[in-house]
Amino acid sequence: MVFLNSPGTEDVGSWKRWANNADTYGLVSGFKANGDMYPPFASIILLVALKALSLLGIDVFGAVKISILFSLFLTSFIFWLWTRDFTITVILHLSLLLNSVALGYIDIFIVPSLILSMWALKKHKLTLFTVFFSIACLTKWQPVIIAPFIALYILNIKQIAQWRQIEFKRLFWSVLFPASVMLVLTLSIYGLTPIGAFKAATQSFFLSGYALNFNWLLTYFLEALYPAKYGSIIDGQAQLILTPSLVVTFIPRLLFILLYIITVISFFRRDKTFENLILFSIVGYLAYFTFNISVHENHLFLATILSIILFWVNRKHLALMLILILMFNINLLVFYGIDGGGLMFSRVIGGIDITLLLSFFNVIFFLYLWGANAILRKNIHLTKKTLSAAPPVAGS
Amino acid sequence: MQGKYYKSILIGFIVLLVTVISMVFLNSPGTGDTKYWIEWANNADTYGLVSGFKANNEMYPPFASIILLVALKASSLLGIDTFGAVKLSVFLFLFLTSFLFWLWTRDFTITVILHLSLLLNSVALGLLDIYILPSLILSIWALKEHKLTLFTVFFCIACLTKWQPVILAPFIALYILNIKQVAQWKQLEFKRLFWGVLFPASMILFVTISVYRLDLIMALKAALINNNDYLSGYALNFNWLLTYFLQVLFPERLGSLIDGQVHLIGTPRVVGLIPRLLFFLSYIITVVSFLRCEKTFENLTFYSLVGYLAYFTFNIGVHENHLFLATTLSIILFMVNRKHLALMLILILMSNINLLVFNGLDGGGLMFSRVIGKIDITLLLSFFNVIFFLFLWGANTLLSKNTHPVQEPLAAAPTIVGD
Repeated sequence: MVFLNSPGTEDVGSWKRWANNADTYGLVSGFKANGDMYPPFASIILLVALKALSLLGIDVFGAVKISILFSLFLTSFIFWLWTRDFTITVILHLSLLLNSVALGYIDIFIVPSLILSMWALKKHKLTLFTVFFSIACLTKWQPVIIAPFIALYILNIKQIAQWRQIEFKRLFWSVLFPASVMLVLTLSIYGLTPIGAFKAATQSFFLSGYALNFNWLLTYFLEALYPAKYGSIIDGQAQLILTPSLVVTFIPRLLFILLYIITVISFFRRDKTFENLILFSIVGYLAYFTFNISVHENHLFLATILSIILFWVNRKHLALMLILILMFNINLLVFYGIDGGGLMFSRVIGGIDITLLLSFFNVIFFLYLWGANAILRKNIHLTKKTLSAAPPVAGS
Repeated sequence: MQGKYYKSILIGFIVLLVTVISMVFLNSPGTGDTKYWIEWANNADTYGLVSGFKANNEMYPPFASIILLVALKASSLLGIDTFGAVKLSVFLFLFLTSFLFWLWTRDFTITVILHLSLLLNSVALGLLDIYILPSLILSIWALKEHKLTLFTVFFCIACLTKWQPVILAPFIALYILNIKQVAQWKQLEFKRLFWGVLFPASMILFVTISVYRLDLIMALKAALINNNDYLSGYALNFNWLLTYFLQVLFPERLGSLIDGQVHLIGTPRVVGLIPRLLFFLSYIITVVSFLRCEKTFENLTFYSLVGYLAYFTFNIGVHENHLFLATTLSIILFMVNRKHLALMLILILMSNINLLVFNGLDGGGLMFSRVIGKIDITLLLSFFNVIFFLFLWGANTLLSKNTHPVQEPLAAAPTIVGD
C-alpha cells in the first residue's frame, strides 16, 4: 500500500488514457482509439477497475493503481492456492512489487491467468490451460514466446518420427478448438485491430527499450562511435536509440532467432517433464530478452515468474531464481527508481555507465545458461517422482 | 557441466551480480547524515583523531571517525573526494560484513540475504551502521566458539563504533555467566570471567578514555540525553503513533500534520515518561526471562532480539535505521535454526520499509504522498510494529517457558559456571 500513490513510469499515462477511451467510446472503439501495441484484454480490466472504483469516488489514476494492487494480491493468492508454499509466495509477491504497484506496469494483469494456465498444464487439464493461457496472451503478448515450449510439452514426443503417437483428437478438442474459439471470438468483436496491435508490437524501432541486454551494449557503442547519427552519450550515460536500420538490427534479430530455435530443438529432444518445460521456457524467453530488439526493461517479469515456479518445482534452482529476480528488479530500478522518476544520481561509476556492466552480466549469464542447458546438457533434469510428467497427448 | 560446477558457476554469477548491484548506489547522495560523515572525516584529517573527534561534538563513539579517516586517506591517494571516500568505506564494510558472515556460516544463501538486507541502509542511504557489523559478527562468532577474550575485544570495538550493541550486553552477560538463578552465583568461575572478559574490556575502555578523555563520556551522555530530542526519529514505533496523536490533539504546541503526514517533534517532558517506562519494563522482563532460560546460543540471539525490539518499540529518540541490528540478529537466528524464517522475513521487511518510507532509495525521501485513504501509511506500519513486538514479547517472556530448547548443532553457553 505504501506505493499506491507512486506516480509510476510514463506508461501510467497510457493506462489512464486507455481506461478513459474504453469508458468514453466503449470497449471496442476504445481499444481502437488506443492505437497501441497491447492486446485488448488489458483495456477490459482497466474499464472494470474504472467503473467499480468510480462508485467509491476514486479517480482514474487511483483505479489503475488499485487494479494493479488487486492483481498482485490475486497473483499471490492463486500461486499460494496452487503451491501451498507460503515462503515462495512471499518471494513471488515481493519480486513483483516494484514492477506492479510501485512503477505501475500492467504486466501483473496477465500473471493470475498465466499461473492458472501453468497449474492446469501441470494437472493435465488441457482445456482449462488453453483458456487461461489464451487470456494471458490476449492481455499481453509476451507469453506467446513460451508457446512453442508448451506445445512440445503437450505433444510429448522426442522425435518427429513419433508423430503417430500423438492423440490428435484430444489435442484438437482440448487445445486447438478452445484456442480457436477464443481467437475467433476476440477477432469477431475487435475486428483486425488486435492483429494490428501485434504487428505494431513486433515492429517497434527501439534498439533496446531500457532492457539491459546485448542491444543496450550496442546502443552504447553506436552512440560512442557514431554520435552524429545516433545521438551522443549524455553525462556518460547511454540513451535510447530508435532505428529501423537492418544493418544494426539484423545481427541481434538473427542471434535471437538462432538461439531461440536451438533452445526449442533442445527441449524437443529432452524428457518432457514440467521442470524441463519451465527451465527451457526460461532459456527461450531469455534468448528473446537478451538479443531481440525493442525489448523493454519490464519484460523480465515473465522469466522471473517462471524461475519462481521452477524453484518451487525443484529447490536446486534457487540460484537461477535469485539471479533472475535481481536482474529483473535492478533493470527497473536503475532506469525508473522506485516511483518512475528515475534515479536522482548518476549511473556512472569510475567513468563507466553501470548499466553497461549489468548488460554485460546479463548477456554472459544468458550465454552460460543457454550453453549449459541447451547445448551441453542431456536430460540432467530427469523426471522425479515429485514432478509431473507431460500430459499424455502422445499415446503410450 | 553438471552438478557442482553448474551450481558453483551460478554462485559466481550471483556474487558478480550482487557486487554490481551494490555499485549502482555508490553515487547515491544518501540521507542528510552523509554531510556529518564528511565533516567528521575532514575534522579527523584537519585536527587529528582526538581533536577531530572533539570537534565533531556528536553522540557517536570515536571509532567511526577512525574508519572515516582511514577511508579519506586511502581514497585521496586515488584522487577520490571525501564523499566518495565515505561511500567506498561503507561499500567495503558491507562486503567485509558479508565475507565474515560467510566465513563463519559457510551458508551462501543466508549471506546473500544478509547482504541485500543491508544494502539500502549502507550503500544506498550512506548510514554508518555497517561499520559495526564486521566486529559485531566476529564477536558473536567468538562467543559461540567460547573464545571469550576475542569476543570481548570485538564487542568493545563494535560498541566504540556505535552505541547500539550495548543494548545486547545484559543478555550476553547472562549467557556468559550461564546461571538460571541469582543464588547460583557461587558456581561462577570468577577468575576466567575476569581474565576473559572484564580485564580486556577494562583495558580497551581505559586506553580509549585515556586517549579521548572526557569527550568519549560526553558523546555517551549526548547519546543518552540529546538523542531524546525527538520523540521518534522516524522510527516506526509506539512513539511515532504518539507523535501523530500529539500533533492531532495539540497542533498549536507541537505543530500540525502536514498534508496528512506526521513529522518529527521533540519530546515533551511529561509525555516521554510513559514510553521510557514501557521500554524499561519490557526490557527488564525480557532480561529476566532469559535469566531463567537455558543459555543456548539460539536463546541468546532470540532474547537479545526481543530486548532490542523493546528498545526500538518504546524508547524515545530511536531512529529509522536502528532496526539494522535486529535485522542482523534475526538473520543469525535463522542461520542457527531455520524455524525462525518468518521472524527474519518480518524484521528485514520492517527495517527496510522504515528506511524507504522516509528516505526513499537515495536519501531524498519518497516523491509521493504517504497518505492512503486519509491515513498516513506510516501509522499503519507503526501499529503493525508495536502489535508484532507485543506478540513476540508476550509469547516468549510471559507465556512461554523455554520454547527454544537446546538443540544438538547449537553451542551451549561458555562454561564460566563450574561443574
